[in-house]
Amino acid sequence: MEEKRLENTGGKASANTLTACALLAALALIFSYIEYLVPINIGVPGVKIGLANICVVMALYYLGIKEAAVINLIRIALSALLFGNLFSGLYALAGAVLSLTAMALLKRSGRFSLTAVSMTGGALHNFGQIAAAAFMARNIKVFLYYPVLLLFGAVAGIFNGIVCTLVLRKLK
Amino acid sequence: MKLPLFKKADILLVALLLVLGAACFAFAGGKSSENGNVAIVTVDGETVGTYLLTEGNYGGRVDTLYGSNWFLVENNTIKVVDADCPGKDCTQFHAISSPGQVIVCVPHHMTVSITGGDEDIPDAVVR
Repeated sequence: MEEKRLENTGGKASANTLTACALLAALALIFSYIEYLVPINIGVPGVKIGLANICVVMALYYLGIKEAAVINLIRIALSALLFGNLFSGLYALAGAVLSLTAMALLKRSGRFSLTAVSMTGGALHNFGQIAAAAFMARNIKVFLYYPVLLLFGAVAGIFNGIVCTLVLRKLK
Repeated sequence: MKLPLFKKADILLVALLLVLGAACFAFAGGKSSENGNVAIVTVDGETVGTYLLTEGNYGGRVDTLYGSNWFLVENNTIKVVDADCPGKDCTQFHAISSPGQVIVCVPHHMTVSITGGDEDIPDAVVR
């Protein structure tokens, strides 16, 4: 049975892949903007709803790791420029690298559902952010804020995962 | 490609994440439930100011190489209320009062933390 996903046929990306990437990147940026408009204040900075990760997870499963990484980078760079600042960008980068690496590995193992992969991605994204902040502030106590962020990130990840799963099913 | 909503193995990930959360909490020294008396401000790891939380309500400013932060001491808690760093993330922290809680301004390499008993009060105290 033929797998219905966009295959990157090596070398230059096909027009389909490029278009899909551009769409997902634009969507990710819009989600970032929405998150920016709805600031959540739980006493820790940098807590986000995590909607933009829907696009990253979608890219990972529909396109591939490379495409997911590029979309993530574009999204982070642009939203840091447009709605954030250098530091928010740096934290997000740390989180994204950790998150995407883990998600790619988990996906490759084939043992976990998309939802669980997305949940882990969200949780680790926040972990990367906390670790970056703790490192830059030279203070280990910052990690005390992680359990709360873990919860938010995981729940958002589960939500994203469910949405992605349902959408991808329709695309088949 | 099959796309199940959940799989049995997912529980493993949930468990791992729980462990990660608990480990962070322990790693960072946990949180005490008592209130502390003294707030310590450090920049680059060095103490630059200490403030008694029991002296009523007052505000102050911390100047660092990297910029300034304004704080407010009230009701035995301390909170950062303004700063000249780009994101002002430090103002989003809730007021803190127990040892173990911190407020951080990353661009300014600044941390505000609480210590409790008298034996911890350093030599110089700002009133």
